[in-house]
Amino acid sequence: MKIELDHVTKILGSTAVIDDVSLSLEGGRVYGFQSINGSGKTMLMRLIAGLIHPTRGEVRIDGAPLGKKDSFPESMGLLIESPAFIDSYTGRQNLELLGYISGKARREDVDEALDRVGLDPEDKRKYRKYSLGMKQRLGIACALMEHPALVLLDEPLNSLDEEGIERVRRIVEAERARGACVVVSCHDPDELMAMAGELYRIVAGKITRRAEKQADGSFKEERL
Amino acid sequence: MRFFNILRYDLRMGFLRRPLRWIATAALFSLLAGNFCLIAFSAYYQEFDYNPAGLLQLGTLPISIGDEILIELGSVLPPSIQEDQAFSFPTIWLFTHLLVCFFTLGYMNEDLTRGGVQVLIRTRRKSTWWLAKCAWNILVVTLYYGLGEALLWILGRAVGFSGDFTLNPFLFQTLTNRAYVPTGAGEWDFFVAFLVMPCLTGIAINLMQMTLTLFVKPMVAFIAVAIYLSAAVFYPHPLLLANYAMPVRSAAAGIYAFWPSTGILLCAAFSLASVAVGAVYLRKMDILPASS
Repeated sequence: MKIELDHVTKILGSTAVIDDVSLSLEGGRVYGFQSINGSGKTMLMRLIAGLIHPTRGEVRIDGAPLGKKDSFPESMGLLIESPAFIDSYTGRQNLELLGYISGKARREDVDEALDRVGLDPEDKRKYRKYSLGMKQRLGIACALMEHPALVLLDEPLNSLDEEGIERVRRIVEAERARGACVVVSCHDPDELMAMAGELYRIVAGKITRRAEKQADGSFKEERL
Repeated sequence: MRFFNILRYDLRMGFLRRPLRWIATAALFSLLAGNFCLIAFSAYYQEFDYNPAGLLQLGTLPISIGDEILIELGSVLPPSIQEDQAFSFPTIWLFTHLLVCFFTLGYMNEDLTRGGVQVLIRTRRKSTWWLAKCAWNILVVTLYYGLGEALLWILGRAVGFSGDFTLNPFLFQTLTNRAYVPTGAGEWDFFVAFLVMPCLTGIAINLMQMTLTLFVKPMVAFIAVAIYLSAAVFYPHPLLLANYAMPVRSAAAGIYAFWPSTGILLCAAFSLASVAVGAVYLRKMDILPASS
């Protein structure tokens, strides 16, 4: 899968939350968006996901403009802001319900995704009884269960303990190795550098710096 | 295929998981049936020698399900033609129609801005999601009126009222202050005017409300619909669809001439317009979290 953002600007009210961003993202790589809160990384995620539309410019998925024929990328897993699920369902029931809608996730896929994030598929606790960390893990499992070609993870490390953070690092690497295009946003530059092969720094809706991981693990940075 | 999957999801989330609403519907229509019994008994109190025990023999009177619907959900004639009768606002009629609007009010919007985003992205096309929401809306409204009207019929039959739509001239005069002149309308005409039209009107108005919630907050849309419904009480204008949901103004009742055929066309036009406007607007609409 190839995602292209071509001079994309998004204006909400009178504010440009994304300002003339051009990017090209491909499968088999991990891209990291880093910024302080409110700088536009979540909006950029929403643009790529098709949840919001560019005021100017275009988002293309494999060459086809997003929002013309399809509203959303065909194969996408999304964790965006605080995940929300049905309170009175267990984690497995929630994911099975969503998998049923897409028709792409069977029970084995759901259980595997839950297992990967460290949740017990047999756990009978309802979602309302979940801790913040468990909710976050369920959100990540939801993004992974259909083995999507595009994985968008907005602040995946929120509310996670050290073990959970380590799991997410492994998951991101496994998804990259599977050939997925993984986009991760995070306000912590160290965590992002550990996961991403290509880093973008976003300031006030603009991409100001790009850094690519070198063979020795260091990052070569360029100003844009 | 995805359309039906989403529709099943919507029926589960927006219908089956909200049993209190259906209990409230059953309670409301049961109360209406009870209220009608008291009204009919009061009107015929003299017939029973002022003996309250006569309430148990209501079934011996020439009362039909048509009378029950007309008295409870018939609404009133507009004030402009109520010559020598004080105008009384049809609160029960309005409440009955607003209740289903309240039931369908928040679900679509909640789903769009909260957990439903995960559903939305799995539909691939917003139009599929929107059409499923419209189908959900139509089904919920149909079930609401279907359940309510079925209860009125069952409870009316249990008391002993006839199951047809033969109107009782005495009760008709009580409601309208006019003598009942049979119009020659058949059972089918009454069935459409008294049972089908309120449901079709409800579908059109609920779809309009759901489309409005794409533009404004749900509560604002609800207030707009309440004003639209109330306006019909005062103005017998064909574009105020609620006029077709008032059996007393139907052509079958003989005072006004709101023909069901025109009503069906207008309801279909309003419904299709709502679905189309919603689909076009949603296509370009930004899906932002509720906090935005």
